[in-house]
Amino acid sequence: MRGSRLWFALALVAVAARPAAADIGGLLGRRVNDVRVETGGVTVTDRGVLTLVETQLGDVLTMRDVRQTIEHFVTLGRYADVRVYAEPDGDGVRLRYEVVPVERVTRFVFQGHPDIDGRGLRTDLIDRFGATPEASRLPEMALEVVARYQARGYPAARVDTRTAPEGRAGTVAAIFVVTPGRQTVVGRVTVDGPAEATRGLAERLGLVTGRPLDADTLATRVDEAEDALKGDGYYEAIVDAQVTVPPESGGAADVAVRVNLGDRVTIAFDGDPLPADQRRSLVPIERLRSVEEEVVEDGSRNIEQYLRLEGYRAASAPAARRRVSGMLRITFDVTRGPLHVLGRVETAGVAALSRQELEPLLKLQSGEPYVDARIAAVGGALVEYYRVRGFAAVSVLPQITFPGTTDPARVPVDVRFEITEGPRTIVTGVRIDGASALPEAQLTADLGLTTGKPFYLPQQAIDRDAIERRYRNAGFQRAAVEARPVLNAERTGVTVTYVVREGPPTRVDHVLVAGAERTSPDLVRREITLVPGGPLGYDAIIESQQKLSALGLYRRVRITEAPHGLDDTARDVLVELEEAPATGVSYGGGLEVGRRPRIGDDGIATDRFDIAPRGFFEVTRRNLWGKNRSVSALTSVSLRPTDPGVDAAPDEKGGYGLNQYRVVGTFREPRAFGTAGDAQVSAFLERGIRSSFNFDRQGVRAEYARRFGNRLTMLGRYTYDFTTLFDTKIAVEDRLLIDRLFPQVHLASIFGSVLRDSRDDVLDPEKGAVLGADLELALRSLSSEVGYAKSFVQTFVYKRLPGARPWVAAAAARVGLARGFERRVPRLDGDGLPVTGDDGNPIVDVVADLPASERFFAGGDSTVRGFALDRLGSAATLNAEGFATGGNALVVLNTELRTPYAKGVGLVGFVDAGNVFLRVGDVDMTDLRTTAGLGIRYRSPLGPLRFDIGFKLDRRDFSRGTERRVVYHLSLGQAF
Amino acid sequence: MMAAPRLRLLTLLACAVAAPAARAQTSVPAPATRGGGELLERTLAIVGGAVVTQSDVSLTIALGLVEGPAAATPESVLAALVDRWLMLHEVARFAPAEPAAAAVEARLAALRARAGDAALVARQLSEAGREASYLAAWVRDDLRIAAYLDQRFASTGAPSEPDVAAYAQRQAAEFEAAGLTGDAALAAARARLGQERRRELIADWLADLRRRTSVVTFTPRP
Repeated sequence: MRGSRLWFALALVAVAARPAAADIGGLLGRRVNDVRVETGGVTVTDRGVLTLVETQLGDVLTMRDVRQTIEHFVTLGRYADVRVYAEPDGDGVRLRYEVVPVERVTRFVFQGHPDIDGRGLRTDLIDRFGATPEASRLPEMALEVVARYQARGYPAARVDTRTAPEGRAGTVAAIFVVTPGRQTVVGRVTVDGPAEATRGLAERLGLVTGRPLDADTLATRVDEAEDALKGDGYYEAIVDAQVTVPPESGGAADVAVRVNLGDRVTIAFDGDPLPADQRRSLVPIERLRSVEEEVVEDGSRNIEQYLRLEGYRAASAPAARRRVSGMLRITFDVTRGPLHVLGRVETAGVAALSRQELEPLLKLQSGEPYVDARIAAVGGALVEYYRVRGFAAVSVLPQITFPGTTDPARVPVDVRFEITEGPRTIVTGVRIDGASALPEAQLTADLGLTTGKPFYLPQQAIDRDAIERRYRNAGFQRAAVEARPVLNAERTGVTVTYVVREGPPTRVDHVLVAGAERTSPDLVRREITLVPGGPLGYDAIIESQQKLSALGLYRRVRITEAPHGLDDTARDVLVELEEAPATGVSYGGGLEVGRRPRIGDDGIATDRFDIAPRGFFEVTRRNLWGKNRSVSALTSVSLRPTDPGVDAAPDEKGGYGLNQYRVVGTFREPRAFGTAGDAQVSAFLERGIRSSFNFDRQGVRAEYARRFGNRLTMLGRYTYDFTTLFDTKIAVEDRLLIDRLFPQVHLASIFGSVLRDSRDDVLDPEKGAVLGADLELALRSLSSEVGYAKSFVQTFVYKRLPGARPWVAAAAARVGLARGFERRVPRLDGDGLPVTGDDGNPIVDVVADLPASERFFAGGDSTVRGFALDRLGSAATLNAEGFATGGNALVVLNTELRTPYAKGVGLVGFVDAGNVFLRVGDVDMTDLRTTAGLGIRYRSPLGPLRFDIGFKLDRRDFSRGTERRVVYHLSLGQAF
Repeated sequence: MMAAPRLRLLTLLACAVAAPAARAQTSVPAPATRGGGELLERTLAIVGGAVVTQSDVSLTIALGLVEGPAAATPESVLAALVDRWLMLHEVARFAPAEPAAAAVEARLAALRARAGDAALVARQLSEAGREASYLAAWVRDDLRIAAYLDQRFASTGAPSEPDVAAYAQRQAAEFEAAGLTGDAALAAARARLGQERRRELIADWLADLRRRTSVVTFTPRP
């Protein structure tokens, strides 16, 4: 109450300062000749603020407009105080709005007394008032600080507060100057209770006469002491500390500690046995350290429930308490009774439906333990099955009988579900009453209950909600819809009438944007579906919030309706944004583990185990010019083992080289060219390694991508790059002509892609499909040195198989086809002069392949898993040492069966097939290489961690050896 | 859970000593006025985003919208308006039913009768920037608040019989002077105790609302 007294006093003079009504009356009704908004004597020019002024030039001055303007300013959240001044100007009036910007506390400073940790105080204040509270709440914060000191034993603590400006406009530091006063000290300490419980207790509680008394710490230690006793089995123990400060004590507190130990508790089980591992979980006494009556009763109930689920229908486990010489013994007397098992299960009264269709619901088997709860569940399922089909009055009564038995320990129970179907009710009409603002056709468009359909009460409720939602979206926030079903006499037909009370529509008055300091207001408004003057619809609020969040510019987006006086028909909509830092830095590192073909000692390709450390660093500057544009610079490097004789000196053994890196600078503009698509331009520089060559590439790329709905994406791209091959592991005579003629090549291409993705999860899909098609054209008319057309089509399908814990079947097909455009190239000698033939004419070579960097390769953890990376190929695309040259055609087919995860681990069986062919015309589906294998998946927070082991079903021989049969892969994410 | 009662005494003592503990020298500064003109309107408080203006206080006084001790001074009227907004925010969270039209009409008629001349009322509303529908909305909100308070504090405020007896004994002289003895005194004690408890509970509730709601007030112009 201290706080309220404070501000009442502050308000006193303000209220008294109200001008006489006659003064206002003389100004109202005049034309507004001039209107200004000022803060600290400076005129505000922000268009976002000025558009909120309702008293516009030339308008007749009304207090209504003045009030609304104040409300807009306050709702905006940027101004703490608004005052309006008016003075006559001829026949008109001049208006001036004085606004005080909100000051926010960005730093808390505690001075004067260090006894209490400032960080703890700051955390408490942030918890209650938020990270950047308004400075106007400083009095409340001061009270909070005082309370903390009082709790720590400073009853006379005093806190004075002030603010100091911080670097950024509108921010202040809150300074709390603490005068703690004298701390209460421990005076007389008395400890009462059994010796075994009170020995050394005062010391453990920190109660030493003359020492400071910290109330918070004492409370914690008292709890700890009580817990310790309970831990020893004294579940009724109570430790109590009474603190009094006698007036004449001079600030010394008398502390009276009392221990009520109670009896030590033991728990016993008599009668029929209970599994030892179940006892503790069924009886919560030890866990809760309590012997309160309801805890003991819970134990009895849990035991009985457990046994009944096992089929012991008449189980009982009453508990008895016995106190003997300082011990409380709680004994559960367990009586299982006979085991009840299901006998015959049948239904009676089925007429309108067939017994066959009810059969799947009767998931009961003769001989299984009889459990009441299961019978009730089956009965409930039968009722629901009938109700969905219009039998609203159906009843299902399970009747049980005991046919008799010779074994008293095993009692069979016959169950008969007696069904009274009642009439089937069909909807004979649906009406809407009381709707005038929205057409009936629109309201009934998506209803589930329509004429001719079975009447189902829950569906009626869903339809009622749907109608109400339509009204809410049209701005009728107080709309209420009531469903009134009227049955005919036979209850076979029902007319459902939805009675609508529309209430007044609420429209959007202003859309106020707060917190967009770096973002252009136009950008924010573009994403907001709500428009001034339009209906205030719920879905529009949610959609606007989602679209703003999707920009990625804000840490927090909140859209709220702001009060508009007592006017129900209009609301201001406040969009509160908390901008993310403009510059973002991200970095990371990891290890890539896998097999890669390298040159062995004998010169042939050998799959070697590689561990490659890798890392990336990215700097992004977002929201350039307030338009959500961004630039980013990404650098990634990977250190890989070098190959002696290829990328290291022949005599070197091992070692790591910086043989893979990538530097990319990207400018990104969402919603480019006024469309819904995103554009980006990148410049890149990279060095990469393939199995049979390494390459350097530099270039630029311009890309435009657009999503259509949630699933379809289309992308177009232009690329110009320059690629240099080096460290080629294929002998010159084995290389394709194009690789010999163009070890360095300029390529310019256009690329188009369509992708439809309906997967439920990108990393670990269980259902859905991906269908994608790419086409790339490199043309000499675009300044490309060689031309080609390249297409790639892929489809992935995922399906959950039936079952309670479904397995997942996945299949993939990928086909790539490419063709080089012929180019005639004069053959040159070492001096760059044309080589002539026997006929004296220059020899001209005809090139019709793709450059090595653009050809297809296969093999590896995401294609055909019986092969290491890039090791798959037909005879024409592998040289004698087993290195791949790549080809113009690719076929990869995969099938996979995935088990459900158990404790985060799942198993996979797969069959992969595929091959790479030199030419499109060489594609031969009988020449696909087939591999099979097994895999383990571990569900990690980053996605499934994958280990696959693949086996070639047909190994092939090379000139100097045979293919390795087994290949394994370690990776993240599913293979496809 | 046991810690609070154990140490309650210490806390009570501490609070008693510390009543004048927090002195806030900071509040929202007044704007520096450089231009001229009459003060036409200003904010006095912002309660959870709702603005209470100077006109609101004037209008409330002029039309007698609050009664009893709350109507005594402008500052008590302002306090009542702040409390009213706090309660309205809370009541709105529970989507109260619309009050009956007859109840609204009856209250409105009484309020108009108290306010006096209709033309004067219209002018006062206009000068405060309020529509003619303001009074009806005010009454509706009054009824919503009353319904909420009845629902929330109806049973929790019921005193126990020993408390009633003790209260009747304490106030025996007053009851006897009023001619109330025996069961009548007990009934009176029960009613009065119930009202006192209800007031205390509502006061606690309001204090809690104030803690949970941003309430900003403004320093007067120097």
